This record gives sequence, C-alpha cells and structure tokens, in this order.
Amino acid sequence: MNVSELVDELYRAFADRFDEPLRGHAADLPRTLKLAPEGAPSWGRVFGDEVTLGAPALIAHALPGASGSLVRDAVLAHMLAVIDAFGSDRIEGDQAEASATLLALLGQVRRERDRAMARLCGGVPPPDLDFSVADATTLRAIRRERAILRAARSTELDTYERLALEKQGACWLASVALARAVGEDERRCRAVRATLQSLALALQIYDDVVDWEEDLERGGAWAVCLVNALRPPASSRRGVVMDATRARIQVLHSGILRSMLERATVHIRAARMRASAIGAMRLAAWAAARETRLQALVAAERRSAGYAVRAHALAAWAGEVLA
Amino acid sequence: MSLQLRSEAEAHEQLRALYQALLFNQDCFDEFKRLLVLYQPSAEEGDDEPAGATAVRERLNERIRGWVGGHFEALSVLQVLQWRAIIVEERFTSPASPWRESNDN
Repeated sequence: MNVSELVDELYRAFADRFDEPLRGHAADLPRTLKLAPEGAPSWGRVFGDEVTLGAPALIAHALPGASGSLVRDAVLAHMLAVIDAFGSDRIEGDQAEASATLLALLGQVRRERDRAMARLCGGVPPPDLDFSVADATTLRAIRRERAILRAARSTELDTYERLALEKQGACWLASVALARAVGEDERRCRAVRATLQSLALALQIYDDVVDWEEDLERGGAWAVCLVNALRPPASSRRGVVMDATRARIQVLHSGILRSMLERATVHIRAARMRASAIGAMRLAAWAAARETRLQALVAAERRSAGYAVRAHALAAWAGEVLA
Repeated sequence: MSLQLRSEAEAHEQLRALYQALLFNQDCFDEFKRLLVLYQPSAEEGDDEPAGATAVRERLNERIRGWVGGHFEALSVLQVLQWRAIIVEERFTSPASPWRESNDN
C-alpha cells in the first residue's frame, strides 16, 4: 500500500466511527477547510504528495524495527495533527467559519490524534512529544503572525523563519515518537526532527512566495514585511502601510522573492542531506527533486522577477495543455 | 505530416508561445489577468456571449497576437472561460500548504 492510500484508509476509519451527520462533515472536511476546490476528495489526494500527511511512513524506511501497527499509529497521529493545524489556521484567518460542527469535528480529530500518540508512546507522551504543548505554540505563532502581517511590520528573515517553524510545531512529533518507540537513540531522534523541520521550512517559504499576492489580499504577506526590513532604518521597526500596487512594485523590484526561494533551497538541501544521512532514502529522493525545482526557480526569478508566482498560477494549465 | 497534424502542432506551438510570454513577462501576465477579470460571460449556459464579453475577448486575442509576435488562433469562448477559471477563480490550483508538492518549474 502506498502512503496516500494508507492516509485515506486511516482517515476513512476515523470518519466511519461517527454517526451522520458528523460522518458526512468529516468526509467533507478538505472542502470545509478550503483545501479542495469542490467535491470531497480524499485526503491522500489533497496535497499531491506523500510527505504532508504521511511523513512518518517515509521516516519509517530508516527505522528497521518499525512494525506496521506502530507506523499506522504514527501516520494517524501525524495526519490528524496536520489536519487540525490547518483547521486552526483557517479559523484564525477567517478562511473557514468556526461553526459548532467544525469545532466539534476538530475536537474529535485532536482526541483521536492523542489516542494514537499514546499508543505510540506506550502511555502519556513526554512533554517534548505532547501535542497540547505544540498546539499552544502553534496558536501563539499563528496569532503573532497575523499581527505582524496585518501591520506589515518590518521583519528580518531569521524572525520570519523562527515563526514559520513554531507554526508547524506538531509536524514532527509523531515521527520522533516513532523513532523513540523503536529504540532509536536521542541523536537519531534529533536527526529525524531536524529533517522534518528543514522540510517544513522549505515548503512554508516556497508557499509564502507563490501565494504572497493572495496573502496580501487577505490581510498581509511575508514578502512585504521582509521588504520593509530592507528599507532605511527610519521606518525599519514600524509597519509601513502601502497600497497593493505599491507593495507589488516594491516586492518585485526588491528581489525578496528570489531571496526567499534561496532560503527555501538551503532548507530543502539540508532536508535532503539529513534524510539521506538517517537512511530515509525515499524522502531524500523527494527532497532532491524539490531542490532541483527550487534551484530552477531561483535562476528564473533572477531573470524575471515574479516568475515563481506566475509559474505557480499557470502550472495547472501548463500541465493540462502543454504536457 | 498530415494537414490536421500540422494544424494541431501549430496550435500547440501558439499556446506554448503564449505560455512563455505570460511566464517571462509580468506586464503580459497582469494584462492577461486584468482582461480575464473583465470578461463576464452569460449567466446561463448555452446563451450567446454578451456583446461586452465579445469585445473583451477580441481585445484579449489582439493583445496575445502582439505578445507572441505573429499568428495566433483566437481564443474561443470556452478557452477564455477555462483560462478565467484557472487564473482568476483559481479553480484548478490547490490552496496554500506548507507541505504541498507543486507542479511548476
């Protein structure tokens, strides 16, 4: 069974435990969270990759002692943690209505996630693998991000990356728990964590590049905050309110999108090397492909500012018509 | 090569030229998107294209010919609607995801 099929099977089993209408709402969750344009596609197809929801299954390739049931629990805990994180982000960003049904469903998602994690840990998880601690950190980071974006506050790259990482604090817990469960030492567990952190950063930055105009329309974009940090000191620590047209010109002329893509490349390279070092070769191959793509985008962005955004916008059409 | 195959190959080349123009030129992309936003099709499927929409589509085709620097088979109503769905309504792209695999390069 491939990872996407496993994700779908585990989610179906989760949703089937409910009576209607909650079961229907659970099936429809990708659309409710605006992660799927229409219909109710399976989670395994929402993101188009195995990493987002199935990371522990790819990490398991480096863990010879990982049994099928441990891997299933790790994937279940991980995928539900990611789904819950998306839910929180959508609700906080007013992109999904915080209806009683959605809140109840996300509550069930968290309970099932915690049960899977407890099985993985053989009891109550230690504090560094406690999802509730990560949830609190994520929520704080999401709210801090909103405040910065809305004020277009000048932000340095390292602050931006730190916040991006805090926002995704739940994304590696299940994989690290899986490594610990099969008896890996702390050095290997740290390596698993670092691999997934690098991946998370690379993909978050890429996303913040290609969606920056959409983000700006919704209330703020990191590219604008990072550009503001490049401006003269007089305005450096304050929000610089500017209209969308001016923001667009400044972002495109500043080269900040290229700089962000260069950072994403650094992180994906680190992820690829770390995945390779721990023996997660399928993950390393996936990261290598992403690295090549990011390098191409950096080069194109250098020649033509805004290339990555346009390429992203045209990708679906190009895939259909020019393939 | 048969006439039909040659015609299909030419149409493909024209679309590729349009893609390249949009990909490498922000001004082209912006104007393309602006005209697609202005393109308001008929509310009812099967109805004729409203005069205002026809004018926008003609303008769009004229601009494309300028960008690709030569012959370009005019975009049909259906093709403009498909472009509109992709570029304006974003109905064929996935939403934001820090973990998403994308198709662009």
